[in-house]
Amino acid sequence: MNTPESVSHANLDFFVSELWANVDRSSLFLPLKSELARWLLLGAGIGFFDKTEVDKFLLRQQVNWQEAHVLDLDVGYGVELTFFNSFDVRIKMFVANDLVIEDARSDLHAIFRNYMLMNSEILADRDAMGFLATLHTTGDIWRLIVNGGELLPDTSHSVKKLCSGLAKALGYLEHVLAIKGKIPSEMSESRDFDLSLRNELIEMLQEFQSYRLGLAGVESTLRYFDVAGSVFAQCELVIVDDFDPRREIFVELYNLLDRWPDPSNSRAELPRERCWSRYVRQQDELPPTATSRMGHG
Amino acid sequence: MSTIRTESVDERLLKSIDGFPKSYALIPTSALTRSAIVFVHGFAGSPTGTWCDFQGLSSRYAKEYPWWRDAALFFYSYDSMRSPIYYNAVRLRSFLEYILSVRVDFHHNANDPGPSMNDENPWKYENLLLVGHSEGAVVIRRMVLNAIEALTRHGREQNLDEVKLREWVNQGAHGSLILRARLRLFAPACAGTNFSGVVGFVGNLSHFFSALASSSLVRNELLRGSPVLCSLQTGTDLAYRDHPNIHALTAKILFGSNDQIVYTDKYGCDEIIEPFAEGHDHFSVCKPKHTYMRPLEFVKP
Repeated sequence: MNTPESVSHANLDFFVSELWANVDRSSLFLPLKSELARWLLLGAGIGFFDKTEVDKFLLRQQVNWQEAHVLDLDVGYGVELTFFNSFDVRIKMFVANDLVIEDARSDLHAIFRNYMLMNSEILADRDAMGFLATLHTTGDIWRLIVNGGELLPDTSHSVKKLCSGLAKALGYLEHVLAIKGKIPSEMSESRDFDLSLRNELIEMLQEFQSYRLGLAGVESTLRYFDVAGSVFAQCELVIVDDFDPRREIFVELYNLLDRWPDPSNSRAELPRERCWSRYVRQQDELPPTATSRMGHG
Repeated sequence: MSTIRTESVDERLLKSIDGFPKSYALIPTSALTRSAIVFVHGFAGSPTGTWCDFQGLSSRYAKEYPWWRDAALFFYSYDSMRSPIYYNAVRLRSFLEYILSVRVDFHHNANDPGPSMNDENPWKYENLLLVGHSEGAVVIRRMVLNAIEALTRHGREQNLDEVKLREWVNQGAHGSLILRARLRLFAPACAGTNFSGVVGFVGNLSHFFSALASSSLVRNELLRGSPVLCSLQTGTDLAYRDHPNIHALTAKILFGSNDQIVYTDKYGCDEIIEPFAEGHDHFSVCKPKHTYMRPLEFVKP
């Protein structure tokens, strides 16, 4: 086996053991296999994974599912499978031009690996996955969770756990958006097609994850503000020298979430008033403006 | 002005590490690998979130910084928000003993069998660099001190006098790749953090919520003057007085000029590298960029 082959085999081994297997082990209520299947197809298309091995792997999974009388990847999860199916044509179009892909292969692989590693950390984190799963619960259960604190016996929905999961999810978003933002500015003589290819790859990867991250629609996005508001309701942070952490955090949170692409196009822009209302839990107070004094790590 | 460069394909194998979730390795395939570099993130950090810029740029700039080309890179994950420093140090030691052991074969290259397995040399590599950021630096130093204290205890059990005990510890340290390691610390929290509350801890959104979700015990352990930090400094300085040849007791340190999180101080046996990383804060100091190559230069065997 030559070096590129052994690297792509190692990549697939890692993906299966650290991402796919984590989904198998997880009982969380998320349609992850549909998403991860698209990761595999896209990764194989750019040569990050071995295409033949990916085909074999997916075939084996399909056989297993059929034996288990499961007809589709994430049936029963209540998700619109068209959300994920819609990516298939886009992936094919993206990987169609082998020569262009080959020319930018190193950059594309670096980006893909980075995203994969970040996602492996999120998928292996119980607090993060617990938080993301709750974003998809029904409205009644959600209201109980954010208002009730220690609602469930295993305390996986305690405010402390949700706060930890929120922190992990936000860390992920910050990191991903930082990668996207720095690529063009880091290079002063970038070739146009390279950049467009990189940006398209990043956008696709982001959009794959939008459902899981609760950012494919307004309601689940608003729940980030619910959790952040619940956290503030339970801690005593004081205003020092006009620095009001609650308002500063709102501005940062709004700016971060508003920058994430919404593949369903259900929101052109996050509704600031509604976000604020959920954040301050209906208190009669105007939202802050778009600027903040916080720095970025 | 930086120019775009043709990135060489990263020919490292990505490997997960049994028993250490979220930790992983990047192992070179193309060269004889004699050096290991282990990265330990800080409070609320993660292997990829903190260190990913090293992964791409160390390949891209391998010509300028050739020691990166042949090094095996290990990215260690631990619970920096809830588990005590001491516990994390013990676990880091287990991690190192596992990944550095000649018995664990991360290497794919059949042409590189590595050092032969025998009782004299249980280590896979000849050189080790331990790289820590913030809390990760504290964990590394506690791990090093634990290893020396264990050696000393073992020597005392044999009723050695003070002179022979020092020789015995030095000899033991010489045979330990972990104690032969070189330490490179970015913005270490060894002298404590300069905040008194959650708000002061944060530089960004995720760190703010991480601080709220973290254990107060961990935050208190990292405060200036905490019993954990004081005993670590005292123990390390004393150990260095007795064993100045143990490399892992000393550290080279790089601070950013805009660090508002930790005290810019050092132990007596350390060296703060000058100049400071101008314009960099606590978080950006350890993240190389095309326009900021100090981290790649700093992490050198």
